[in-house]
Amino acid sequence: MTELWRIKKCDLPAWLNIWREEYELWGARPEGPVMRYGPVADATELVLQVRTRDSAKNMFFPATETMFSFRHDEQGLELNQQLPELKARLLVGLPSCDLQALLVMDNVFGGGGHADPYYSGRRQYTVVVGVACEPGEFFFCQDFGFGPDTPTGADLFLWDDGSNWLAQAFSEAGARLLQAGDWEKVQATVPNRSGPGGWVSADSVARLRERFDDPRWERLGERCLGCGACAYVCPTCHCFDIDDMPHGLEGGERYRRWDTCAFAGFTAAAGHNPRPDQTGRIRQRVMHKLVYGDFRSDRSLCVGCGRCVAACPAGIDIRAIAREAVREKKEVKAGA
Amino acid sequence: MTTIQDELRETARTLLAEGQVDCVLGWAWEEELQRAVPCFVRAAEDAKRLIWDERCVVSLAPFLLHMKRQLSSVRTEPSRTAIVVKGCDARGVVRILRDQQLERDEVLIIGVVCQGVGDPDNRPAKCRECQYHVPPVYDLLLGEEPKETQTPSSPLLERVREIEGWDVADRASYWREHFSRCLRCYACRQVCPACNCVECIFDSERTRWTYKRTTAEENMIFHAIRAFHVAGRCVECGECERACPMGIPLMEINKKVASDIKELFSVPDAGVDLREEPPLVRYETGDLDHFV
Repeated sequence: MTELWRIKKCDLPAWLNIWREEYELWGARPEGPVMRYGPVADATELVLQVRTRDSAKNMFFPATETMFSFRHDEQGLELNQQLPELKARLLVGLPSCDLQALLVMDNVFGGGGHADPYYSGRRQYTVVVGVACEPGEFFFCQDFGFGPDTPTGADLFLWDDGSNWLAQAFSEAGARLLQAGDWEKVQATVPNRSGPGGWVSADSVARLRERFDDPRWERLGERCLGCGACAYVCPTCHCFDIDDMPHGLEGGERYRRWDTCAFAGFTAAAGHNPRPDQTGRIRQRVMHKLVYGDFRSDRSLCVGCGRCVAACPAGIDIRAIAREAVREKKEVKAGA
Repeated sequence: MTTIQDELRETARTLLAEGQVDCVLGWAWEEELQRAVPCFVRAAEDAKRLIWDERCVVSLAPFLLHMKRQLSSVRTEPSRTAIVVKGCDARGVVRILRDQQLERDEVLIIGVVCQGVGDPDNRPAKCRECQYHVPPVYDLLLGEEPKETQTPSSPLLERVREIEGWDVADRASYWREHFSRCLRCYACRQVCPACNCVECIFDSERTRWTYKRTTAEENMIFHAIRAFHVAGRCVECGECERACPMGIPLMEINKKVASDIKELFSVPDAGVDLREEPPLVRYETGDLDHFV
């Protein structure tokens, strides 16, 4: 699988279309005025090297999904688990940050010896084709140790080589995809550009960890209006809440839906709210992304995609918070 | 030449130095973000951080209420905050005051004369139809009042009329498509000066008006209820549409409702008068329907 193949860019859609009989084809395409990941009927509809408004997590961890239905009558209680329909899917065009994010999510929903059947079911049957990205506004991937050409996490990765793609497989499934074309094997060094960075460092993470009680969190708390735009466009935010949707008096369905620590009622239970003000909530989100990490690995939960920075209606910039943490207190201006 | 920005910085500095206000809420420029962001200035020497120009797109009105509510949870003594407002933002402040979420003397309104914000070649819809270059309500005004103003045409209203012309099925599928993208992040609600309920019905765990499932149906109920809740109170600042990460054209709905309210009740625009009585909030014995 170490071979490198040259694919003419103009040949890509026809090649991907060969696989449509076996796979449902997914990738970035416009949805109204925004770019999102979703299914396409034809590979010519795919838009490559574009930053989608939200991430691909919806594909594996939908914003809402029914977990099981229940019914209670004279015969007793009946529960029916509703697992997702297992469809083979070919997801084309993930940039390196979204690939890294998938690894984070795999760990959250599949690590620790217990696999979430809803997530894992979808993930297991998905083959992922990564594509080198054109870094744009607000990206800071290099701070997390990878760049726009990093293929980690992909079954197959495409590097940009002018009018061609340079393709390399990283799994059996990826290698199999390549067999459908008569490609030229090449001897070349794949690009390995550095990505944008310089905001989050080991030092800034360490400082943030020490500064749980820093008054600057209050300054952020009064600016953070408490919406979930950041978390819902984030490729690694994975919190969910569980609720029941009744169907009459006898039964209903139990569903889960995205939730976020930015919301005022997050994890509030029995009249107690563990984070009663926005200061605690914005701190939790920033700390969880940059400091707490995933308790099962060393991987950062932030992958530097910059989507939250672009989406925040208040202009809160997680990169600036990290950079700010390493500045000395005397330099800090009120309101910063 | 003294610019509005110079005047603003001097005004803010004086207000803070003399202790007339505890805080001045204005805009500061974030270089790395390339965006003007809300800035809470509490020390007179920091007043120089404030900016005023066409980059100041964000309405500060919701931040005023949010900040006051944050403070009220930790502090009890009253505080007076100055807020810098464009015409549209002033209407948001009127909304918050008129809905009795803040006391009038808690707020000092610094109005700035505005000729439109954002990219001059691609102004937001609200700027293209703006009739409030001078804030309708202010305590201090910075900038020269324009000599003559003409009522501009409203591209947004034209769009509403266009949609009204479609048949029901087309309108339903248009909105269904847009609302199917809604992630229920509630950014629209959080930036809305009219969405100032202390507890929103969509956050209530007990009342089941709607479910938090992000199906197109539930999302439509959410957006319909929100549109009706702000009917006659929406100040048309356009912040909901700006904040929506999914690009849902929410102002098309709000404009439709606002224009219907104006026609049905012959009322002025919402949020231009501190004594206003939004028609759906007021009840008179002579009202046509006796359902209240």
